[in-house]
Amino acid sequence: MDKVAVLLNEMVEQGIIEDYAVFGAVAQMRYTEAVVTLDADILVAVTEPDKLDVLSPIYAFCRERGYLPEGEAVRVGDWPVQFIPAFSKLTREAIRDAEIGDLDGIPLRVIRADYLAVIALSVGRAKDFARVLALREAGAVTDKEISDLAMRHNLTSEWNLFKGRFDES
Amino acid sequence: MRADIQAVLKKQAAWQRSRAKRPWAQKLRDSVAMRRALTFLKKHPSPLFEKRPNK
Repeated sequence: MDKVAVLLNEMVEQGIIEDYAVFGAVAQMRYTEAVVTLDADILVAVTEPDKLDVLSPIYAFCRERGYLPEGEAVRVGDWPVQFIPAFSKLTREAIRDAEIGDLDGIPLRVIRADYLAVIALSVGRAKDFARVLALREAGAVTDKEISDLAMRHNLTSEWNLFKGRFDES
Repeated sequence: MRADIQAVLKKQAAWQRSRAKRPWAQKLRDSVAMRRALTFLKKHPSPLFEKRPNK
């Protein structure tokens, strides 16, 4: 993952992207035990969001460094990396408020646990619910933090649905 | 719940918490190793898990 961190930090320095933050399972592992995942998901704030192919400068930058596309992702060392442009107010805010994680001394921006949980709630697959459960169990996020953030992004019904399904009455 | 089962679950939870506290970089390396193991098992399934032939 250190190669991914170096690549992403270079992209920001050279103005290819405005900002980034790791999310998905790779971000989850900052807070919980290791889990199996196929790829690393990276939220990116792009410089020209209205362009038709917003990811092409990113792919070109990767190619120049020898990192080639592999299906929907770009292979960077051990990790297929998926670049996902920020697609909502919630994800844009998640990038803005991201924390800086430490990967053997290399900084890597990562979204906060509350954003991770609320993005998972908004997606709503079984594995996303499992992520919320894991984050709560690890003590990475409180119910109040999830509830407050969910309310700000009109996701209270999703949060209530989750609680109804998984919390003991 | 029986006390011995409760003790086992408590031990398991403590072990899980200790694994969660390891450095992020280490956990990501573990994840890569688990992904490789899973891929290997998918490509080379144990005969125990292969589909039983129709009779």
